[in-house]
Amino acid sequence: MSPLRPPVTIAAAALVASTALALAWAASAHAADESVALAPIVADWPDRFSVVGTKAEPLYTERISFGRSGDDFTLEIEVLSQGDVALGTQTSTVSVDDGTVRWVEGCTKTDAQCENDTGLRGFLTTALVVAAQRAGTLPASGVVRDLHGTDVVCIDDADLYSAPSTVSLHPCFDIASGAVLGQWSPDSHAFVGATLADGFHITTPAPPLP
Amino acid sequence: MRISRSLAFLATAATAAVVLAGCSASTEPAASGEPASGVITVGALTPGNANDGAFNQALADALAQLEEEGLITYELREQMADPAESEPVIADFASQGVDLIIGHGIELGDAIFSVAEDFPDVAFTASGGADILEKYTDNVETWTYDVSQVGYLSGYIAGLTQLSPIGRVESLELDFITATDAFFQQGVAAANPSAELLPVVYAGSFDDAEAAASATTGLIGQGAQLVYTTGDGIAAGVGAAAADAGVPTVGVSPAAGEEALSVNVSTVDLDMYPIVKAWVEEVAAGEFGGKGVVSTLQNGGLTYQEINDVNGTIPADVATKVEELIAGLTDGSVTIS
Repeated sequence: MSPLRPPVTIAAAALVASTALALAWAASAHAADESVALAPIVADWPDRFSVVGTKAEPLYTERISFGRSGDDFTLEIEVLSQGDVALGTQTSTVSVDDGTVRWVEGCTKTDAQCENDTGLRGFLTTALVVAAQRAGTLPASGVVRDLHGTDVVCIDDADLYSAPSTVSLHPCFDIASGAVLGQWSPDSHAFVGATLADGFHITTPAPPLP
Repeated sequence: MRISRSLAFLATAATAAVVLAGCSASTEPAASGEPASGVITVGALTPGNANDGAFNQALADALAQLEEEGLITYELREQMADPAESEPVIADFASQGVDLIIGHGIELGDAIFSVAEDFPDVAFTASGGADILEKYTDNVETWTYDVSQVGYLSGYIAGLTQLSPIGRVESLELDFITATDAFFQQGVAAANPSAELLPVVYAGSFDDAEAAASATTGLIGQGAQLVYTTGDGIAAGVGAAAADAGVPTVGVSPAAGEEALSVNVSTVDLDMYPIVKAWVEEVAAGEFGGKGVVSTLQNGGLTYQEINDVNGTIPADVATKVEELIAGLTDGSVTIS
């Protein structure tokens, strides 16, 4: 990252007015539940972002950090409980290779899926969307929703995955950065499961100086 | 960081006038350690959001109830996981003469102990693992919860359903998960010795609900009549797959969504009300400090969600038998080891 381009940090509850084109999305007139074309949104995603957030469970907290650096996507979920040390950490890394997603670290699937994961879910799903964009298989549209004050675009899982899902959860991406912030359940009409709590921070590179 | 409550309590006590005058150095509670008025002022901090329906909300709910009962006024500061942010807030509470300062979460422990040294007349609480129980001081009470009872009661409820075989879907094979599962197995055996437990299936992830759903479907295909899980990142998948098959679950948390909850029999949960109320009463009586506290089923610090009979699938006496278990733990006739 160029020292002349400091990172832009987006607090979930307090978007800083900035010149970033992407941020303009957050302040745009998109109404909740509005269907929007995905291609221009995905095309505007920066090739770098990092997210730090948490997710509380009844008896413990998960500290979740993930990010994108070019074609590489990393995720770390640290389980924190009432102890002096973390109870455990999930570390996952995938890479977009042409139009496919390949696991680099932490794959618990079959060898074939680790080489070409067409069913990638959770906070790394951005990689699958980027791969779909490059392969020309990007779904046509998504639905804009508000997650803790941040505009996200949710993609119907039936449009994103070739194999039918057992549980219908639509991954929802920060419109400005592409980071997955939550999962929308059409059955529950709510964000459920692997969804960040309010207070997450997204950092993206500042746009080029004019 | 947000202020969830107004500074209402600052206007209730004699100390408030001093605070508003900016004389923070002389705002300690009465010399005896007892509050200056009958209403205890509480400053509380949570690492996450107080409306998370989970760990943080357990404290927020307790504070709201105690305020409604007229026992306290409080200010709750959320998203205080960073000690650089939390320590000044704790010091500010203390210098304002707040009677009781609660740090809810391991992230707040160091800051609590650090500030507490400088305010010996203010009551503090800090939380941690079992090891924190012996770290109490004269003005810091420590708190944790009984992990073994969480697993045991979950298993006990699963066993009481009389459904067998029982499947388990977990995220990753981590020590705390396998330890909790060991107590789960004990609970199942205690309630239904003939219950069959299928091997645990790990989804391999905390955030892949589809993998958990697939694992659940696989277990149901093997004959599982009930599925146990923990962690709502995957529980959304477990619950959805179980709901599709009409198979009850145990352990699905509210954040997994309505569909997932529709077949969930119950989930063990924290209830901070009895714990915080005891702290408040101790402060009021000038008897606070010098001990550690454990949330258990006996003292009501651990509880369970109301038994869902899943359209009549679950025996009607499950709740009664759970209460009998708790009574047995309380009178010592039942032990968990």
